[in-house]
Amino acid sequence: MSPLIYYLLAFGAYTISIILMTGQSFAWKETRLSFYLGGRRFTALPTTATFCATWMSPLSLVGYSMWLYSDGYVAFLASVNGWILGLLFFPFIVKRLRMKRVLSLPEWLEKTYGDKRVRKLVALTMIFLYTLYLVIQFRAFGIIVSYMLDIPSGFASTSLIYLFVLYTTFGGYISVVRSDMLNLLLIVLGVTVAAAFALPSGFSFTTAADVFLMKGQLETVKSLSNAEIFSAFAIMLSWGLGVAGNPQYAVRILASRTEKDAYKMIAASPFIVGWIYICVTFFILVCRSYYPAIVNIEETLSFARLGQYLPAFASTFLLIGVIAAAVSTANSQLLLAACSLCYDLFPIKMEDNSKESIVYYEDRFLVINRIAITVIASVALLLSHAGLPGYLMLGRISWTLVAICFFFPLFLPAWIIKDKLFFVLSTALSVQCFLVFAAEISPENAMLAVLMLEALLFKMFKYSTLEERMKIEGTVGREERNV
Amino acid sequence: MFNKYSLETLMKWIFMSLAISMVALTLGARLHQSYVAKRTSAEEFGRELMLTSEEREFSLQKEIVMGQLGPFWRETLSNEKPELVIKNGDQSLGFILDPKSIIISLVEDERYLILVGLLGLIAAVELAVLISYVLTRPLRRLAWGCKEIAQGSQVTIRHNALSPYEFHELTDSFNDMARQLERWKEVQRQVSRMDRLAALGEMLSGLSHEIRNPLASIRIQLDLLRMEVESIPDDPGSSAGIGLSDAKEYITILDHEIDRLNRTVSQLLSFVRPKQPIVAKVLLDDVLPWCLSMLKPQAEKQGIDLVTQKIDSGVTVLADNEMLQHVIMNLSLNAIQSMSECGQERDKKLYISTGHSGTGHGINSMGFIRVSDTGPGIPAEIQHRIFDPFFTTRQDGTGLGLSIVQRIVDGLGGTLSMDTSSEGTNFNIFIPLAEKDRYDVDLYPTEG
Repeated sequence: MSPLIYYLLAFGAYTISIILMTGQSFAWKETRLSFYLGGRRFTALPTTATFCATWMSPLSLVGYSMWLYSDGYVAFLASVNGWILGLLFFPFIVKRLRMKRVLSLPEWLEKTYGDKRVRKLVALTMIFLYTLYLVIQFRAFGIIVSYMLDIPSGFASTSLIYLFVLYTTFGGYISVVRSDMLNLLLIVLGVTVAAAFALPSGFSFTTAADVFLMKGQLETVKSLSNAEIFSAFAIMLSWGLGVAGNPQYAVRILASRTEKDAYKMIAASPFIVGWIYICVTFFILVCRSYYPAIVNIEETLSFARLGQYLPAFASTFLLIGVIAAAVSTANSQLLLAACSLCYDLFPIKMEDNSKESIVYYEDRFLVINRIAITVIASVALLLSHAGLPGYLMLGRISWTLVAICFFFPLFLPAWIIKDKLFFVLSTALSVQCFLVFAAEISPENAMLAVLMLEALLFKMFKYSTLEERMKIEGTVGREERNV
Repeated sequence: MFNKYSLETLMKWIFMSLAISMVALTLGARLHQSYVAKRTSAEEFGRELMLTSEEREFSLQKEIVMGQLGPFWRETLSNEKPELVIKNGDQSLGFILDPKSIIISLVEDERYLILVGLLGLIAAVELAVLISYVLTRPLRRLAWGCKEIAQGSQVTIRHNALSPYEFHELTDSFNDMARQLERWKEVQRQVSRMDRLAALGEMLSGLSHEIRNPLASIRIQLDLLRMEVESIPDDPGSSAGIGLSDAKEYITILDHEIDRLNRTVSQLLSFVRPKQPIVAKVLLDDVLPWCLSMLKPQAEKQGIDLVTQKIDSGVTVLADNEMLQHVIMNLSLNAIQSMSECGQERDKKLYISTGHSGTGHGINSMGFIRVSDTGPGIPAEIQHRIFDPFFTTRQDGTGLGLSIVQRIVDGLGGTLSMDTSSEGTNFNIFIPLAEKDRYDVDLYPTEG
């Protein structure tokens, strides 16, 4: 049967499943807590599902795959290693994050470091970077759908994800988790089926091992120059730190029902994410060895074309998996961007403090929040047609900004001088933007320099504060002696 | 089982079913039409080819014949009956129409329509969500309001501009019901208070009577004792003289205490059996100088500035002058008492003002006396109890002052209101105007 029939059937089924599974959009008893964190009542299983589904974006599936296809194992070393490295940081912040009963990461920063300006600065950065991220998801979805339905890539295809994402995000975190459970299932199924049917001669462990060790694959790493090794290391570090500080994951730690559930989620997710990466890596290595002809076309389209070497049903699963990855990441990012806008950057004020107003306030807040969701999604939809750089570049810009904003405050709180944090972060972000956009230095290299600058500034302020304290103590000591 | 489903879910199902039906109907009709057209066209083409082959008797390769026929025809299998037989040289080639190929071709042709259908489906569901939200939002507020009323709170539901007018009606009805309930609660409170007061009055009446009689006798005996003591010649140097002076002092204390007890009993009795008011025209302007003369010494003693104000002059009310004075006295003494407990940093002022209330409403206009202070105000948690008899925050108070004030004002056909904050307290006494004044107000409303 024609693949188009498969694609149409699969796409229709996906649409109806999303409509039915995400359920309530305007829950009867919804509050900000239920909207942003699902009322902190999700157990380890759904939280792990949403964590992993959010993790797998088109950037991790398509961007990584096409890099692997063109450059071999170096892509694995730089990106997958980096992402997994980021995972190792999470256990250290569970207690710290959950100690403060907050709804967002910027609020956590304000409560921890007592500076409202830091909250606003970080919220603004989050809106910027998540809008960029959304562009990646919208674009990938549009291209996959246009490929699947054999229609020109444009508004018709991207407007579908726009509607999907609005629909799932309107229900808040609860709806996002429900849709993510379906999306993760589809992603795992898609990559597993693709790996299982990738080999033309049929799957066997010996052939699979041969593919991993095939001549030409490992040579790509061995032949790297020192500059390339440094560049790969920089990318790995920036993506690792970007993952570690990403509010998308931190918010899932906040939303877990208990601390134990959060730890379970962190423990289980490497297995799921790892499995997905192994399957994708295997599929792409097979394509690299057997069908090396797909070059010089847009990365999502190249990925979709690789699917044509699979049986029609397997290619359907794979492409639906990419769509699921785009939707799952987009709704989570959209929710965070709207939260940053309405809750952190321009918090909607209460009219007065009477009990009646609290009820109306929650309602009004969430209505405005939904309007913000629509606005941000619309901006991303427009930007997805604006000719921005490729996924990897957008991803690199975003990850590095995340690392600069959150790495020190989250992982090295002892280094932070509370009243200097705003100065350090705003300086670091400005320098990063200058280096990337004006000086056109690669985001990872710029980030390494900026992180060092941050560390230097923190140490300098720490030293000067210590010196001041010693001076004061010395003066007091002298006065006491004089008395 | 139905209470498990929200309106949103129901609406979503209804809209989704409608959208799917519409999409299925439109697509079905379109696909069927195209299918029939393609099939007919293929059949016609096949027949034409068959006739041509018979006329011209050509001999071609099988693949070329199939290519000529197009993608919708396929060769028959051994067990199939051919729908089309084409003579190709000596051979007869049997063909059959392949519906699967036609359907695939159809789907490829109509994929835009399918995409639009999917878009329509999601849009319909989102529309359902929004419509159900518009409907459930006011319901949610009403449900909350009902819960609040059940818990005894006072509630007013705001209108939502997005709701249809039926919900505005519902909200109005709810608010009206809430107001009526509040009024009903107030009536119940008053009835219950009156019941309590009646029982209390009965008890106090008996008790006062039982105290007053022996008290009169004690007073007489004490007067006799004082006379006896005073008749003894005084010798200040002797021990008898010292004892005599002590006895006189004890008698004075006893006298003082009996007076105090008597006052309390009188107050109790005036509360239980209030005097019938002697209603006459009272010019409120005359009340102010009396207030000044009676209260000024006491106010000055506490460092309080007493200010009397005539907001409107010539206001004549129907009241018992003596009782009115009693009311002002009680309220003013309370105010002085509350301000005396404040520190020196507060600007202590006691205002007594008189005038007309609301000159715009004619016959409803009343005379008013306002007693205001700059004290610390009455705490919110005791505000509803201050008019209850025997409720007091002072150790030496009887707690009857304000309840007597309220009873007097009620007896005069007036009303008493109070507003208080941390800046001070205002008591407003509204007394019906004498007839002449009413007409004055009606005919010549005050300007400005």
